[in-house]
Amino acid sequence: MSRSGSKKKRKREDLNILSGSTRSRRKGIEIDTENMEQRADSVDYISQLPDHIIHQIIGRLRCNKDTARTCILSKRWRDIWTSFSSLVFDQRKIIGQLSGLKTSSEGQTRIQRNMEIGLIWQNNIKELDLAMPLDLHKGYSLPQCVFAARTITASRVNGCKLGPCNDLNLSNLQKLCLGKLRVNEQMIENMIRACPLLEDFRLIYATGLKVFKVSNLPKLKRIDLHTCSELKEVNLQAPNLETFWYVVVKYRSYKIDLSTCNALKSLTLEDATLKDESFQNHLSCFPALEKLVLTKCNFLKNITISSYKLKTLILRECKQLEEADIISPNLLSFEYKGEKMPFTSLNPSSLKEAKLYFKPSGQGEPRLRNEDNHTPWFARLQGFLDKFDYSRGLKLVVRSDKNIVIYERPKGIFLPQVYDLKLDVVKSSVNLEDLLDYILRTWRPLTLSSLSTSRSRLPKLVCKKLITREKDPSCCTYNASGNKCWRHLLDNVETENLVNGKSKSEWIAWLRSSKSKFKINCFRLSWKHSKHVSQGLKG
Amino acid sequence: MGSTSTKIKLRTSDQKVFEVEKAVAVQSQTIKYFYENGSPDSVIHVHSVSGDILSKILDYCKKHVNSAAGKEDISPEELHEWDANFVKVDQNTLFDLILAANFLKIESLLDLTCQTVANMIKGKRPEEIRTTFNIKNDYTIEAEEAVRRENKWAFDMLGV
Repeated sequence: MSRSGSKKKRKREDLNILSGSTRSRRKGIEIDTENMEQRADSVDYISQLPDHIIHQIIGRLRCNKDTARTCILSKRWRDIWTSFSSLVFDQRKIIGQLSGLKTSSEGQTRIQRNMEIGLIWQNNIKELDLAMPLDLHKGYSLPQCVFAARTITASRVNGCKLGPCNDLNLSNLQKLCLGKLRVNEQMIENMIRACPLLEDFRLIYATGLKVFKVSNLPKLKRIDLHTCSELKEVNLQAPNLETFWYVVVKYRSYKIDLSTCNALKSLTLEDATLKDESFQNHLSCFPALEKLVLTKCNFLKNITISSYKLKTLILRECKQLEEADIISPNLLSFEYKGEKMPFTSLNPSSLKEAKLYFKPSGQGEPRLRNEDNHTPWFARLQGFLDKFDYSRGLKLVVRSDKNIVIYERPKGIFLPQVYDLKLDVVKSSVNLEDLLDYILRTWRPLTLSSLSTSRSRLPKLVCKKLITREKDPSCCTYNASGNKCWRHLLDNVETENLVNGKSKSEWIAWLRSSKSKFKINCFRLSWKHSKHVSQGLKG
Repeated sequence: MGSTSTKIKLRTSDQKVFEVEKAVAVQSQTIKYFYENGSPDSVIHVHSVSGDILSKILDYCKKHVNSAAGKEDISPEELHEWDANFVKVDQNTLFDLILAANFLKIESLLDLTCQTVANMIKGKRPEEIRTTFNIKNDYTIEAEEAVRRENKWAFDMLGV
């Protein structure tokens, strides 16, 4: 019996489970064989399965070659294979990740397969993400043809050897990320010429390149240059560039020309060689700058940042920075990490969030003494914190070691006199409950206190979270034991009596001394299997 | 509990009626859907499944429900072996099981049966696959050669 047409019928039946048709599909075919592989009759059942089921079957072959070879079986299977590959490309990615390969020859064979699949599918391929964890010099030579796929819009290649990059055709490429590979000036030039639509170009741990020049890429919006150790000169002619991220680790100075990048909005510099003057020169070219990040720029001493457009400013571990004159009235977010307080001119009243992390440079006592010449610094800090506009719902979290204090709408900041202060001014959109969860999850404090005005609901909330919590939390049932939330790690919570308590802890003493101004609740927490046994300030 | 003894009535393409324990029947997402969205006493008509196939499928569901509920003392290895024996059937039955598992939406059975067929394809030459499944080669010699050339990478190292 011929079963042509039964496929359509089957589909109809799929849709109408409760309708009237009851015709049996296979009347008259009686087969009873023990061995399923034995050919007991000459009916081709498999080809009559709906496409999506055959896709399920060939998807389970787990070998691309086996899957692809089914196209030769018959015309029907060629069609199935074609639609199968387009299904794969719904994900728009081939990931050729070959971790743990020991020999490069094995790596070559396997990657060759993936590459060839890439070529077969090159009419559809949109993204290529290839990571080879192989040694730079023995690495796999990437076939030129990989870069000839016209439809590719994004490509990330790590740890391969690139050919000369002649005759590339990447007319749709928008994102290119090259990591851990060797390039030279000619290759970069060829690549740039082949990618007229490039928007995002990243070079990470690339060696061999001495001069990096970019021009004639009108769509270019972002460039990252991350630890390209041989670079001596960077010249970017990119009038539409919005983001530049640049990391130099070695102490080697070189020329950077960004003077035409006047549209730059976001600049991240980690450059241990950058001097005040060249920083100032760079900055003057970017009137539209909205975000500036300076990390470990250890040569900077006195800088001026003056901008009406700047919204985010981050200064991290610029060791010698003495004064940053910041005149940016529209700043919303500020972050500082370091020893001193080199930002006295900054007016924080417009800020919606801030992070100020101080860490002492020496080994000495973290506590400030009265005779200490840092007292002016401390007074400045207190004055700075007072200027935030807390009436808009900002919260202040003060940390020192494992002791945490939360202020809600503080009026007059009262800080513990310690040197390792970590201060977070939290934006108003974060609600108190989420903030508490974050604190308990991230820092696992040993004391947690709240300083609030009498009408605040903060003390109640802390109490609810800590004291009336479930003893056997029902959450995280499906998480592995190492992956459960703070509730499962909290061992015990005690309320600290600040009036008649016997604690001799300096931290508690400080809390007690601030009692006249605030309503204070203080809890002592202990954690299960806590790695941190430190009791804070000799508590 | 009353819900464990609840029975669901199913009628197959050849008009056979099965009364099935609810816990077993709802292994099929399709039956579950019709049970939850219809009146509880009505007979659910599973048109595209014959009585023979449904009976086999219910065996499968019963085995898996019982072993999951601990009613039957069976190790994962033993269940695996039971599964392997379950799919030792002729091709006609195997493909009927696939279609039924697909229609009834029983994920684990669809996985088991599709994997069984995949194992029959794995590592074989095209000629062998054609013989196994009676697939008729409807390419002309030239067309077949062209498809091979187009997909050369998949055919080398096989000597085909």
